[in-house]
Amino acid sequence: MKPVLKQKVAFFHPTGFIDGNNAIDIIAPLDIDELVRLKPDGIFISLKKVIFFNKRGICILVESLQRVREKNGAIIGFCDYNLKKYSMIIDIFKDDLFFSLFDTCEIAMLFLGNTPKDAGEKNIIIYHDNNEYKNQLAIELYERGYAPLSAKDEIEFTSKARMADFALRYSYLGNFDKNPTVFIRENIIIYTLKGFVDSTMDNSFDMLYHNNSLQVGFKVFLFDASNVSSINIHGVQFISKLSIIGAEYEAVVAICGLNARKISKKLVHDLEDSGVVIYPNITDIFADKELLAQTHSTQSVVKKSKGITKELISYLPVISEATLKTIEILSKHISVRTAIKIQPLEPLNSQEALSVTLGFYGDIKRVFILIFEKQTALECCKILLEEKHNNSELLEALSEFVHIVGGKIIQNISKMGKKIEITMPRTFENLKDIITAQKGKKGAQIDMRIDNKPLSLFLTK
Amino acid sequence: MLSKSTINNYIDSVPPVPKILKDCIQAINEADMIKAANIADEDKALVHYLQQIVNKPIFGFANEIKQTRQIFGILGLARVKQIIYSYFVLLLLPKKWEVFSFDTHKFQDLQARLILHWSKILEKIGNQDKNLLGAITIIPATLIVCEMLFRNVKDTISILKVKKNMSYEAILIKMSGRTLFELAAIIAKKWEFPETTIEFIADIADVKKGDFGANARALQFVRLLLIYEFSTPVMIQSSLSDLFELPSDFDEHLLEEFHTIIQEQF
Repeated sequence: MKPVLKQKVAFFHPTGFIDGNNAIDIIAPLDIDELVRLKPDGIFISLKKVIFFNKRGICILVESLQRVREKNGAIIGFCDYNLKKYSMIIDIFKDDLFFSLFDTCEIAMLFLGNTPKDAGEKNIIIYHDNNEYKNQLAIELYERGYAPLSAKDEIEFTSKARMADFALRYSYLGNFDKNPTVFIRENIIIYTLKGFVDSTMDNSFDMLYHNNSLQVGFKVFLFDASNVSSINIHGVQFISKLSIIGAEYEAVVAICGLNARKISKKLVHDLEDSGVVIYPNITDIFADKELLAQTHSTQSVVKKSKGITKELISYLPVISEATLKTIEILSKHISVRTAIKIQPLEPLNSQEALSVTLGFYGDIKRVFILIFEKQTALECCKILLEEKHNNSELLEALSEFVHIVGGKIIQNISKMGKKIEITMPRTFENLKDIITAQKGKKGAQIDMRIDNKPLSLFLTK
Repeated sequence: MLSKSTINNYIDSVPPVPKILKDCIQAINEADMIKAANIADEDKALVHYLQQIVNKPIFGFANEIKQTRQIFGILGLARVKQIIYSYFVLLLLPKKWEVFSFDTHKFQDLQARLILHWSKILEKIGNQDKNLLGAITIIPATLIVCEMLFRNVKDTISILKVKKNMSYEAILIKMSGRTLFELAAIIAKKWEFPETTIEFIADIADVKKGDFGANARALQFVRLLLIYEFSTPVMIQSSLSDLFELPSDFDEHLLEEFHTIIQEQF
C-alpha cells in the first residue's frame, strides 16, 4: 500500500480489518525500502477506516515501522483512532509504548509539519490523565510556535474541546527523538536537535533536503538546541560546515538554546568563527526583524555564476508538456501558449497571483517556477481542496499540485534516460517575493493562457 | 475528468441479458429444477462457469462436480440463481485490467467468496428475502464499472491516490456526484433484477437515509462483508482495499456476530 506524503510525513490509510494475514501487505517490503530512501521525519498509520484489528496485525505493522526507524530514525506511530482503538493499543503494548500516538492526522502534523503563519492563534487544548505526558505535548507544541492550552481536568477539557481547532485527549509523544527533525516556520528552516550532537549527525542529517532548500531559496536555517544534552567538536564541525556551504548561497545558519553546560566556550567561538549566528532562544530569532526581512529580500536563489545553457533549453519541451498536460487534466481547460522567451522572470500583470518554486536535482539541476492567477490555481486544485478552505489551505493544495507536476516531469525526463528527483515545492503568496528572489537571472519563460487567464512557467538554473 | 455522457455511454454499452439466461432464471423462479438445468446445459460457457465456481476450494466439495443437474441439486435453486446472476456480471469483464492489477481468476474467487458468505449471513440472521440473496452478485460489477470508467482518467486517478487519501468511490463521487452502488443499481435495473434487489443495492452506500426498515440489519452486514472481503491480502496487493466509501462505525456486538458467522465452515 502506498503511503500519502504530507510534507515530511508519510501516512498509511489501511481500511477494514487488520490481522496477521493482511498486515504484512499494508506496509510491504517494497514500501519499507521506499520509506528508507525517502527519509521522512514521521511515518504514521491512520486507523480512521479500520473497523477491527487484532494484536498480531498491529504488532506486524509496528515491526514494519520499526524496521524503517532503525534505518533512518523516523518517528513512528498511529493516528486517527477513537477511545476503543486507543485502549486496545495501550493494552497490547502496555509499558512498552515506544511510538507516538496522535488523535488525528492533523494533530500529528502540528508536531511534525511546518508551522503556519497563524500558529499562535490556533485554539489548541490538551489533556492527558498523566500530567507528565500532558506537559511534554504542550512544551513540544509551544516550541514549534503554537500556544496550546493545558486543561487541568477532564471537565475543563470537554467544555473547551468543542470550540477548539485541535483537541488532544488521547495523544502521546512517545520516543519523539529523531535528531534532527525539520520544519519550516515563517520561511525559516528549523532543525530541532535532541540529546547528544556528535558525529552521528553525519548519518542522520538529510543533506539532500538541506541542499535543495538552499537551491529553492531558503535563506535562514536555525538549529534549535534547547533540548540538547551536549554538543561536541564533531557536532560543531558539522554545523560550521553547513554555515560555510550556506555562505555561497547568501544563507545564514543560526543556533539557539546553548548554555555553558551544553557546549564549551571554545566551541562557541568556533561556531562564531564559521559565521554561525547565536541566539539565546527561539523567540529571539523571531524577534529579530532584520533577520526575518532577510528571509524575503534576497538576491538570487542560486549561485550567481550560473546562467542559461543550450542544455537547459533542450529539456523545456518535456517539462512544459508534462506541466500543461497536468494543468489541463485537473483544471478541465485547454491551454494556449502565447510566448516563449529567454529573459529574466517577467511575471503576470495580476493583483492576485500565486507562485511556486520547485528544484530538480540528480542528472539535471534546475529551478522551476509556476505563476498562476488565483482563479486558475483554484481550478487546478479544486479536486485537492475541500469545499470550504482558506488561503493557506489553497497554498498547501497548490504546493501539492506542483509536486504532482514535478512527479510527471520526473517520469517524462526518465524516458530520456536521465534520473532526477524533486525538492518540496515552496509557495509564494506575494509576487514581489518571487521577483526579488529571481532578480537579474535569465531563464526560459513560457507564457500561456488557461481559460483566457495568464499563467507563466519559468525554468532557470 | 468524468463527464455525465461518459458514464451514460458506459451504461448504454452494458449488454442486455441473453435470452437463454432469462429463460433459465424464469424456470428457477417457477422452481422447475430439471427445466432450468436443461436450459443451462444449452449454454456451454455457463455450464463451464458453474463448474468452475462450484469446484472452488471455498465450497469445500471433496469430488469434482461436473453434471449440471448435479450442480443444481447440490447448490439448490436459490444459490444457482446467484451464480447465474454472477455469470451476467462476467459479460462486463474486461479482457485486460488497466487501472487495477486484477485478473479474471481473482475476480471469480471474489464472486465465489461473496456468494458463499452472504448466503451464510442471511441464513444466520434469519432474513428470508430471496431477492436480497441475489443482490451480492451484482456488487463485483462495481469493480468493473470503476475499472472501465477510470481508464480514460488513469493519470488523474493515480495523481489523486498519491496525494490524497481518497477511496476510488470518493473520487467517483467528487467527479460525477454518483456512488458506485448507484451505478450498480442502474445496471441491475437494466438486467431486470427484482425491484427490492435494486433498492437494496442502491441503499448500501446511502448513509443519509435514516430508516432502512426491515433491511437495516442486512445492510449493516453487507457493508461489513464488503469491507472484510476487500481487506484481504489479494485486494490490498491489487490496490483495491479502498474501493468503497463505506461507513466504518459498527456496533461491537454486530462485529462479533459477523466474525462468528464468517468463521463457520460451509
